[in-house]
Amino acid sequence: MDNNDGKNNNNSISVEAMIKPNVTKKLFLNYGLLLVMVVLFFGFSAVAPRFATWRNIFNLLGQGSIIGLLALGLTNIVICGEFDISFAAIATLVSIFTVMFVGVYHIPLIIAYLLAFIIGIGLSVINGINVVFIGMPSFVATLGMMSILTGIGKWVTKGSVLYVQLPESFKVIGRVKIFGLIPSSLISFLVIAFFVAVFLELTFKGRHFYAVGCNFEAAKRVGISIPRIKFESFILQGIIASASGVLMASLFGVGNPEMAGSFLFPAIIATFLGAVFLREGIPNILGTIVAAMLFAEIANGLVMIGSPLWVKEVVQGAILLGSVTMISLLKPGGIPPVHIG
Amino acid sequence: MGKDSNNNYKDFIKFHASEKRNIFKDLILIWVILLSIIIFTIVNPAFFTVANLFTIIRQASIVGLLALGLNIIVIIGGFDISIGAIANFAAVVMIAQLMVATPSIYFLWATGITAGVVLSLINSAFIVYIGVPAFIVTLGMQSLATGFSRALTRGGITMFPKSLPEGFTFLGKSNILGVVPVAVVIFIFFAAIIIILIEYTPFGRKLYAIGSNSEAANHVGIKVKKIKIIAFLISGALYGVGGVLLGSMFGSVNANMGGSFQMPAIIAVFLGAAFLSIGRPNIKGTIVSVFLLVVLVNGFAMANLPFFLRPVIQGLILLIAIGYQKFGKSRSLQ
Repeated sequence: MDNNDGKNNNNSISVEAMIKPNVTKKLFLNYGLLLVMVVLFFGFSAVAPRFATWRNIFNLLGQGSIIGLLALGLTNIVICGEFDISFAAIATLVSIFTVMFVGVYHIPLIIAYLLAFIIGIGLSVINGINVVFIGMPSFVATLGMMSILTGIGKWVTKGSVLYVQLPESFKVIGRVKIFGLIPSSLISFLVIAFFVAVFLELTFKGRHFYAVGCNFEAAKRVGISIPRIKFESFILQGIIASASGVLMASLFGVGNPEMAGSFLFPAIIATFLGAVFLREGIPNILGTIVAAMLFAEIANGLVMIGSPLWVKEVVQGAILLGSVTMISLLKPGGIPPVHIG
Repeated sequence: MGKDSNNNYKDFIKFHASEKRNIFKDLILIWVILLSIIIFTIVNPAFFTVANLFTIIRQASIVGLLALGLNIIVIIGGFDISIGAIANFAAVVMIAQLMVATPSIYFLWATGITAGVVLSLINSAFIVYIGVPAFIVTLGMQSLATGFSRALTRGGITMFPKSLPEGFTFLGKSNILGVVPVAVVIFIFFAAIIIILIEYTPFGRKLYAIGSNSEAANHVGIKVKKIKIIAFLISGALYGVGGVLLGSMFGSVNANMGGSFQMPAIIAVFLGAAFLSIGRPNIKGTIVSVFLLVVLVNGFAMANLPFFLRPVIQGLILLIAIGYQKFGKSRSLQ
């Protein structure tokens, strides 16, 4: 499907290029992220010897798993041709509520997790209703949602960080180090990512998600219900965002309303950077995972080599612009435009 | 497209049958402003004083300049979420020079506005020539511009220049004839230019044409790329002016000042579409909405409401504003 999507678009690739793909170039493009990852690994290790320790590597993989999990939800929305900027705010609010339920109200863990998922899915369903059934442009609708949720988060925590005593069992899914080294958040992330990947790549429903995002008209013609698929993608987004919220609560052990801000950009970058991996411009789960880990590596490496704080912001802006530029050049038709206004 | 032309026809009928216009519905934003002024005055009588009203319109001038710029971008079917960051960068560029030298104020203003124009043109290059959707480009630019501001302010600390040059605070702090803030005069000046440009010139009609169907606009001979870049240039200049006002109003700057002006500006553009029941972003509606939002922000502070309510109310207004216009007209269901 990689090469055939863009046939109908006017800025199509030349016929020779379609018949005789340049294998080296294709290999380089599809697996370029891994190459960058390796090069950066040696670069950072050369400058900062502490970077290449097992402890640090697993530490950054643990951070990458939060970014990656958030990005999985966004990837599924972008695959359907919509956008959601409120996912980090939803996850943060869920994490605050989880900490509150367990630490302040002493609700049993399982019920607290259940409530957390109900809240997260509920919020995402509101987004889905706004976008799919009322017809608001998804970017603006979720921007409004983000503002509301940020306010509620600050209200619940009274504007500061919520520190409470939490039971040991709370740490199991995110904070425990298996063999004293591998963070359990990484395992939780990989398990969820596996299920999401199987769903999107190997089930009919998952293929419909791609169909809606890649060619809206064609999907409609073959009888796929567009509103239904889009609404389902928002529900899936709610499930993944709640899972990330619960994982964040377990990993950090506090309810911090500012957490959304620090994960928003990395997750957006992971989604769009991941689209240049394997599929030449189409967001995909494997690419998102690799890109999330790459971003975690860059963020961690920049801290290790002692660069000032502003470098991270400039670098993340540059990576985002670079990756969307690559997608637009690689994929005929580029990124599907999100309707505004 | 059939739906759009039908709407235009309805607008046309509405406009020319003035006795049939619904005063309540068309001027709803004005009624809401009056209502909120009355409520805030009852809660805190200090709200309705000359001093406070001028504070309100002074704040409105920065939000308004950003909203004017954003409105132009939204008219051509784009979006810009980097407005706060760009305005902030313009202010930082201006004040960072004062830390090391004492250039003339005209040079400072020029560099501030140029900073806005340059960043906005970079946005437009990605959007027009590479074809990346505007919201992602400007999201990246938001991060870049904030990073640049942090770099110039040495890690985001607030910069206080030891001495401000003569006349530096003229734009932000002084009043003409002792009452009218200069910032407001500047805003009205630019608002008038933009209204004339958008509503009464061929250029403005071309912007709307590109926004409703850029393919068709291209076919009838409009130079879509050129017009789009000019649109971004004008908005960049407006963000730059907003940043210059920001810097000269506070006399100091850090890397996080623009954020609080961004959300009201975005909301104003989408809320403005409800004004005169036009149903699409328009400059007059945007200006009225800017005042509504600034009245709310100021009133919330005066009424001593908790700070977290502000983002909640802002988000609700944004959702209600677009939901009100979209309800029953779902794009995905068609």
